Amino acid sequence: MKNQISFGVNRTGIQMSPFQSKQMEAGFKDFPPMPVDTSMRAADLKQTYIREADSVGSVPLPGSVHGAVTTGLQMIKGEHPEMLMDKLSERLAFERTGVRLYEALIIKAEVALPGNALSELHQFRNEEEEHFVLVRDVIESLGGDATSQTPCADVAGMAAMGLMQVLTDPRTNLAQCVQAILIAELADNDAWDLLIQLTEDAGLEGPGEKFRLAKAQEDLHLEYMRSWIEDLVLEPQKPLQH
Amino acid sequence: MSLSLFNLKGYPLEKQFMSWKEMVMKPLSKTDDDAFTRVRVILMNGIELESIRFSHSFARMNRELRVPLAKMRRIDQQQATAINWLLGADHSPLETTIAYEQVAIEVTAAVAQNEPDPYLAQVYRYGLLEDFDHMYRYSALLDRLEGKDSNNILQSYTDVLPGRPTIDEHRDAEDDVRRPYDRKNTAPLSKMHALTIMAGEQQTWNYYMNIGPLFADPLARQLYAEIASIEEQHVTQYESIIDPEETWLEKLLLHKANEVYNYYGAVQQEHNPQIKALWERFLDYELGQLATVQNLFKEVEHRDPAEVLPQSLPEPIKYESQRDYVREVLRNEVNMRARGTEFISFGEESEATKIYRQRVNLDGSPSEMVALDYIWTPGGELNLKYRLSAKDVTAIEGARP
Repeated sequence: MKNQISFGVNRTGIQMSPFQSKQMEAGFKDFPPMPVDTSMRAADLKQTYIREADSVGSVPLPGSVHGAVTTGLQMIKGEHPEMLMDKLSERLAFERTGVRLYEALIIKAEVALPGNALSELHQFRNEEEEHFVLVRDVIESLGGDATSQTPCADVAGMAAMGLMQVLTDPRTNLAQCVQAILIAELADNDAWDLLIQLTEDAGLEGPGEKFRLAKAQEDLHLEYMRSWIEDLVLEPQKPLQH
Repeated sequence: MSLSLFNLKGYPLEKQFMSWKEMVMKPLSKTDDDAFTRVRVILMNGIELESIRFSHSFARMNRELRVPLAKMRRIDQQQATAINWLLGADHSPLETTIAYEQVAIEVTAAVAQNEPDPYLAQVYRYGLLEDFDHMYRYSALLDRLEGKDSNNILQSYTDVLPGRPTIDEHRDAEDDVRRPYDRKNTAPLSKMHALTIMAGEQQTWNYYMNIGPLFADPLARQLYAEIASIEEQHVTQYESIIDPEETWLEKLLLHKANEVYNYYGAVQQEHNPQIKALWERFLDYELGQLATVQNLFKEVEHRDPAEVLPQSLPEPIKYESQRDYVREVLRNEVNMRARGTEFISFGEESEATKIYRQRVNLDGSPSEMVALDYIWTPGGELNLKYRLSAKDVTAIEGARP
């Protein structure tokens, strides 16, 4: 890993091969697009699939091992308890992945900032784990299965795939990794707001205060990452420390 | 300078091992390394995979040779790992696809020009125009799906223009089987060419079949399904030009010689020092494996390897832009079609091919939909309107059917 970005022999643009790229760009004059079949548009095909598609999956019905619906679910007000369960599962999945994102950042930062205790990063990693445990306990108190992967949990995993790739690539520098964490924290922050609203609408008193505390901690994570990325990008020559 | 196959003993097979750290090296730079470094990485991975695939088939049919084949396959697999892992994770599967098609175009075009057998040269030119069209379709997909310019991968070496339309490439299976060369009267260079191109197409087949389902977008999923089907046709075409009368060991000998041949070309032309060192190491490995196979050939078939192999290898495949040649072939042969083992004019195709094509395209053609009116433009087609002159716009509109 090299922390500083530098000028070099990047070959991807046309300025690197002005003569060849001119020939290439003019090629269509001799070899223009010649459609053979214009009977269907790309958007039509995609929309046909969208109309025919099943959902990603379903939210498992909360129940005991015998299959009976537990009283937990009955505590939820409103007509869509499955939405609350799905969003709780999404948060659980996101926080669990968040622990791994921070662990990857710590591994990178230990190389970029040798000798630095990185105490804030360790603290944030531990708070992500606490949030995971918190959401897990709420799901279980409602009779839900905290080990299941619900549709929103699955989709959150899809969305985070690129972030994890950025953080674990040995070539990415600290600023690039912090930017990836910032994307995660921005999404996480808004998601906590929505979850708090959802639990309140569902009439759940228990988790409210704990969720608000988690949100306050997430606010600090977000502020920290915003400020850190500013330092790394705006003052790249400054000795790395945080 | 050509390379002798009989004097060099290479690195002994029993000493050929790699640690995980040696196999998982620093990847090439997608942005800063020359595109032909990636071309060589992809081609050499394909050459190794073909070697492994062939050896597995061989072992299933020959009891006595299972152990020596397993030993050679073990290091082949490690070599393939070391090579394939040189592709960095910043290549999306679709960007790697663009690189695969660049391999198919540039290597097949180089081979077609140096192929001494006119029929085989025709086979290569025929396949070339089909892979050339795949580049156009996938570039449109990359631009329109991911918002990326395929030239970031191609580095202006390879054109993005329509070739023989993919929609027209679908043929009845019988019309993909070509005439094989005669093992006794064919130049070694022709045998190297056939194995090399077959290996490249085979790995492309595998790659598309594996990554097609990674895409969420239905059009991308259909396009990979469609082009993977053409890769099946291409593997059929290229394996059919190889003489099926060659014995298993003769084929093994040729596979190993072909690996030496291609590593030698890679060593000669590589600029990335880390990767050049890897090619040198593997050239030495392959010479060791070739020596082992020569001994097996003598022991089992009681034949002299010099019956099959030349004293020295032909000049390597050149890694350079073949733009002018490809455009010439495009002008002359885009309307060519295939029937049985022969190449024919547009309109002379078999009924079986016409029926087959109609059936697969019955619910629409992904390769047509994805590239409708697509014109490659530096930085992506969103730049097109800012770069075209009024004259160009008129020319495009005039060309529409």
